[in-house]
Amino acid sequence: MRTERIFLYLFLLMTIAGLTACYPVEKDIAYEDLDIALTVYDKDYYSPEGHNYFQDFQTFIVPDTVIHILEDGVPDEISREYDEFVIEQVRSNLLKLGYTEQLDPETNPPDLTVTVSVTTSEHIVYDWYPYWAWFYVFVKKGAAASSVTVDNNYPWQPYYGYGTSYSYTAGTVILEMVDVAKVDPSSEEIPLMWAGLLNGAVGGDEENMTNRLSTGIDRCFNQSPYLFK
Amino acid sequence: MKPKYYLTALFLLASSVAFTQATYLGGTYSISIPLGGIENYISAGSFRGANFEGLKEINNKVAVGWILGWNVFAEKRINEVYTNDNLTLTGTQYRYMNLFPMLARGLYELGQPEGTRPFLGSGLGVTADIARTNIGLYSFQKTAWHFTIAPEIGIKIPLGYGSITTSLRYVYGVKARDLDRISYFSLNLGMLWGE
Repeated sequence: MRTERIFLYLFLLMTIAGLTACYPVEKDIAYEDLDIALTVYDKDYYSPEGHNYFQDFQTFIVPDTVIHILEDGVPDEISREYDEFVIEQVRSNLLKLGYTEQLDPETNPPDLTVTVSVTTSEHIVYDWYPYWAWFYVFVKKGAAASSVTVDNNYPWQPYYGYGTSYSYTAGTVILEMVDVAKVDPSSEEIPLMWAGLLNGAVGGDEENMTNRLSTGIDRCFNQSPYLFK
Repeated sequence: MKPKYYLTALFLLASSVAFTQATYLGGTYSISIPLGGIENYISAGSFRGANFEGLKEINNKVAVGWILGWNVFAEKRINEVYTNDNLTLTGTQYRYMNLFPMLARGLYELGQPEGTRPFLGSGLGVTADIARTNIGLYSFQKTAWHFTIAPEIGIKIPLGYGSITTSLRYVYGVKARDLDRISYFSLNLGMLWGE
C-alpha cells in the first residue's frame, strides 16, 4: 500500500504540474513581444504576378505634423514626444528605398506623400483564477499532517479565488502613402496606395519606445519589397 | 452525424460496459509529439497532458474501456510573417492547441491474468480541438471536433491492488470544417486501480 500511495502522490503531482500553467510559452512577455506591423497595398498599383506602378514614383514628402486621431469631444492627451522621431524614421526609410525627397513641394508637387497618424485606446482586463480547497487540504495533510489542522468538511467546494485586473493603453501609428496626382480637391476621398500600421502596448522607457518605433517602421517598409526602387 | 452525437453514443456504449462492470480506473501523465496537421502550426513537443481512463477485462484477452484526455501544445514564434493577398502582418505569435480526446477503447492483452500484460488496441471517438493564436494585442481562436482513431501499444505491470501502465498511442483526427486534421504520438505513464 505504501508503494501505491507513493505512486498516487507522484501521479497527482505530475498531473497538477503538467496542467496548472495554461500559458506555458507566455512567460516574461516584453512590450516588444506585443508589437505588430501590418501593411496593405492597393492592387491597382501592384500585383505579385504582374505590374508594379510604385516604380513610377520618384519624389516624396513627409508632412512635418503627426495627426492625432481622436473621437469627437475627446481632449488630445496623446504625447508628441516621439513625433519628430517617427517622421524622421519614415523619411529615412523612403530615402533608403530610393525615393527622392521633394524639398520645394510648393513649386514642384511630389509624386507621393506619406502621412503619419497616431491613435490610442484604453483597455481594462480582469482575470479571476479559482483554486480548490481539496488542493489546499492535500498539500497541508500530505506535508505536515501531524502539526496542521485543516477543516476538511467540504473538500471539493471551491475555495478562494484571486483576481487581477490591469489596464493598458494600445497605441497605433498609421503610415499612409498617397498618390498626389490623383488627389481631387472636390472629393473627400484620398487615393491611398499603401498603408502601414504599427500597433502595440504603450509603455517602457524612452529608449525602449524609440527602439520599438524604429523597428516597427523599418519592418513596415522591409515587408513591402515592391516599394524598393 | 455530428461529432457530439458520436460522442454521446460512444460514451453510452463505453460506460455501460466500463462503469457497471469496471475493474480498473486510473490516469496517466502524457507527453506528446506533434505530427502531420499539428506540426505545421506547432512543431514543439508537449510535456503537458493527462488521461483519465476506465478499463474492463471482459475475458482473459480482451478489455474495453474509455479515455478522457488532455494534451496541450504551445509554441512562441518570434516575428512570424503572415501574408494574405495584399496584406502582410509581422509579429510574435503565441500558438496554443488544446486537444481533448474522448475515446472508447478496445485492447487485446497478451500474457497471463495477474501477470505483466503487454497489450495492443485502439481507441475510437472524437477529439475536441481548441486552437488559439495570440499576436500582438489580439487573439484568434478556432474550435473543432475531429472524428478520431487512436491505435496504441502498451503494457500493464501489476502492483498491489492496481497496475502501473505505460502506452504509446498514435492519435489521428480527421479534418474538420474549421481546422486541419490532427495527428500526434503520446507517451503515457500512470496507474490503474482496481481488481
